[in-house]
Amino acid sequence: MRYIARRLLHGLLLLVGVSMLSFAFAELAPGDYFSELRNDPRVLPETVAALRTQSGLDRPLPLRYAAWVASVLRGDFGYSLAYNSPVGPLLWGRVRATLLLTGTATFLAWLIALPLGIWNATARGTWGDSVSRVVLSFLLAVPDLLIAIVFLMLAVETGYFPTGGMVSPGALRVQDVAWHLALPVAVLVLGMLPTLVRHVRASMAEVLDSPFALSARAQGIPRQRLLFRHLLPAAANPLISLAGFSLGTLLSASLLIEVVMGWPGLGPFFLEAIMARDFAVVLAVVILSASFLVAGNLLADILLYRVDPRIRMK
Amino acid sequence: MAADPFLSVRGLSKSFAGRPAIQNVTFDLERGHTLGFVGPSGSGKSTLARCLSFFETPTSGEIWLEGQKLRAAMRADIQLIFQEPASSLNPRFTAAQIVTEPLLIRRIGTAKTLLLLASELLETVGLPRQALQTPALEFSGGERQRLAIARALALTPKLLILDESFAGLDLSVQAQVTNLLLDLQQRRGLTYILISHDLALVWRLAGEIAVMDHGAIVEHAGRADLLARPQHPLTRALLNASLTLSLEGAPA
Amino acid sequence: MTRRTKIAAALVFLGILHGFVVFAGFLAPYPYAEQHREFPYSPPLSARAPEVVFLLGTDAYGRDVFSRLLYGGRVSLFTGLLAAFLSLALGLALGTAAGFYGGWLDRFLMRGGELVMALPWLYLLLAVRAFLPLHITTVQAFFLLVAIIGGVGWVRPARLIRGVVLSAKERGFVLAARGFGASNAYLIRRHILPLTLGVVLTQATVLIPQYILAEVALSFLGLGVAEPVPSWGNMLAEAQQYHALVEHWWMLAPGLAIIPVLLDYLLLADALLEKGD
Repeated sequence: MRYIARRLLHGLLLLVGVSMLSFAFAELAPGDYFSELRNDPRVLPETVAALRTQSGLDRPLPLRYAAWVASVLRGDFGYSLAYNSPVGPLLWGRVRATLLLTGTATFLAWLIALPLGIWNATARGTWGDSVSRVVLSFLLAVPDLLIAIVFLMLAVETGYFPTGGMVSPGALRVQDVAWHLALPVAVLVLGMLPTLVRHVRASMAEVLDSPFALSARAQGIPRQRLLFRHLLPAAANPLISLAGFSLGTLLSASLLIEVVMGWPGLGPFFLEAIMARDFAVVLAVVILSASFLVAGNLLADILLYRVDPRIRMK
Repeated sequence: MAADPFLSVRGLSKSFAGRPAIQNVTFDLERGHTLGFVGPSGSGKSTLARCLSFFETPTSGEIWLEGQKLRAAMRADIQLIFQEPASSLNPRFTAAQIVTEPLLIRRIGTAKTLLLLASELLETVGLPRQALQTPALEFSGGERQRLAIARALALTPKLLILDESFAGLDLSVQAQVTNLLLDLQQRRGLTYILISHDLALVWRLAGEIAVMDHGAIVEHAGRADLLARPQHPLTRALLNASLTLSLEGAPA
Repeated sequence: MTRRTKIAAALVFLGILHGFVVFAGFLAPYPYAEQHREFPYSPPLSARAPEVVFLLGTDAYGRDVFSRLLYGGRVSLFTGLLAAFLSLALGLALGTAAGFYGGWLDRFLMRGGELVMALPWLYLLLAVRAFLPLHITTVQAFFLLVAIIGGVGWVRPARLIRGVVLSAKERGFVLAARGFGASNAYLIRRHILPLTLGVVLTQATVLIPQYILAEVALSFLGLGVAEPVPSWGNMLAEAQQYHALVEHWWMLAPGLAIIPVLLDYLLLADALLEKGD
């Protein structure tokens, strides 16, 4: 229990550090939301100044940070100057869309990678394993961006899949979303598979080679039981860390794909905010995605702690 | 006035975080002689070795070398040969690089003189000249021990301290190294302090033995006396543990 | 194939690929900005006029894709290389300092590294890029990209190197050298740094492709190298005319060009990780 509490505290401190860092960094950035306005000769400097005061951009840094923290704790993520609306509501819709995308993709990727990796590990040196490794290596060398563009190209050509957005007007809800999800998810899964399969294969291989596995086999334990009752749990440790990390990147893994394929998630939202120098949004998104990362690692740590008695010894 | 002993240690103590490793160690050693320290692990032998060779600073006590109080400038006169020759040599360094490293560090000598010295040193310990450019990992355990000795000789020390230097070597190799050390002692008048947990390992070389237990010297006598009239129970235990100890070839 | 031949082969191939882009000036038939407005979207190997051949076709403005591929490759590949060099240099310096000296320096660096790692990578890159002036010259953009991509990625190499240094400084030969009066600088230079070489090399094979992709992503999004200077990233951005992309399939060339580069680094990485001398 104390270990968990310590890790939680550590995670919280980390987040505080991240928020301070991002906030300070935003402050150092030349220009703010009103830079463009300032350069516009038609707008009076007094107007710009008044706008700044109105949006609170002229108060000293520590004050602004404290105010920001206070509002975040209340659930208020600031005000987006570009969208002229509170950031919070804008965020949640986008976060949901992203999580739908990455959640589905991550789930599918693990669903494929686990059996594939285990099979590869048990069938090492055979033809099937070699083919699998070559194909996956090649896949690893193909940039996600290219896959996304090619898929979109095919979608436009064949008309089988929609080419953007999450829903089409006037269509049945779930099926429609699924239809729109298909391509982006496919791209993400193809991107995640090679490394995942490699890790699963490596973990399983290590366990299969261990003296413990060899002696279990010598005892004549039937293959299925051996695999699932004995070997898989032993291979679990590095995979748990990986799973935690997978969870942690749920919010951030799909930025590029979302932008290219027109999925209305955090990615495009973030990009627009950057171009518009809408720092409230940029800050909120950075903190949010960092929180996910920290939470993911924390979860992995805690799970490992529960599962691996060796860590408890420390 | 009698001549000062070569090495004189008075009341040497060393504690780590309040726990004493050696307490009040006192002994003398004459030039050209060999003193063996034996005792179980944890008896402070290695700590003593390190205190004498500048690797640790004693908490209290005095060390006198050739009538002078031991100072940092006298570092070259006392050399320690470590417990594991394998790890005390950088496996990627060549034999030449290893034996000349002490001189390089002190910026003594030029590339040419160092190479000459390196082959001399190798010759001294019975290693072939061709081995000069061979990396250390290609040498056997016994050869590495000889390299370590050669390196220790580079700064022409007067006192060599060998800490468990025979552990892990098989008997024939032990014999070779022992012969080498005896030879060097005769030729160069070196003084040795040997550290070991096993009496048999130092028996041939050591003219005097000091038995250590829990950081203190519990018995200190010449080899013959120790064999004939052991005083301390630990000494007796150590003697019993060793199979055959003869007094052949004993130094005076 | 033995490990050594694999490494040699991968390196030779890398050399060839980089040779192509380094000598872009010689090899490219056309300057990268030269437009042939009368021949937009010509297919590859089309000879639209005598002595006017486009090896990989042209883009919307009639610019030779092959030439732009070479020049663009220069930007993308070398951003990756230089940024990786920066990350590794930083990682080496900081990791060695943290591992060797320990104490508050170690704690400070490792905590700082944790902070940097807590931020998702691409978001961090974009945010850092965003917080700098949007409109800059190409040269500035190039060095800015290198600085950002490389400057953010020092943490993992630093951690790994720190681990190596921590165990290295306890080794017998380091202690022995210290006993001979060696200074810290000597110990680091002669004994410890050579031991970090393995880690540095394997990290390089991992970081370089990652960073090439980062440059491509940033330029694709418009935050990297900008027109008219080509980079494989901004060239891919042009390929986004989906209704016509199937007919203008050669616009995908920059994306396809990345594949052999990444494959090569992958093979190199695998070969380095194999047990060998």
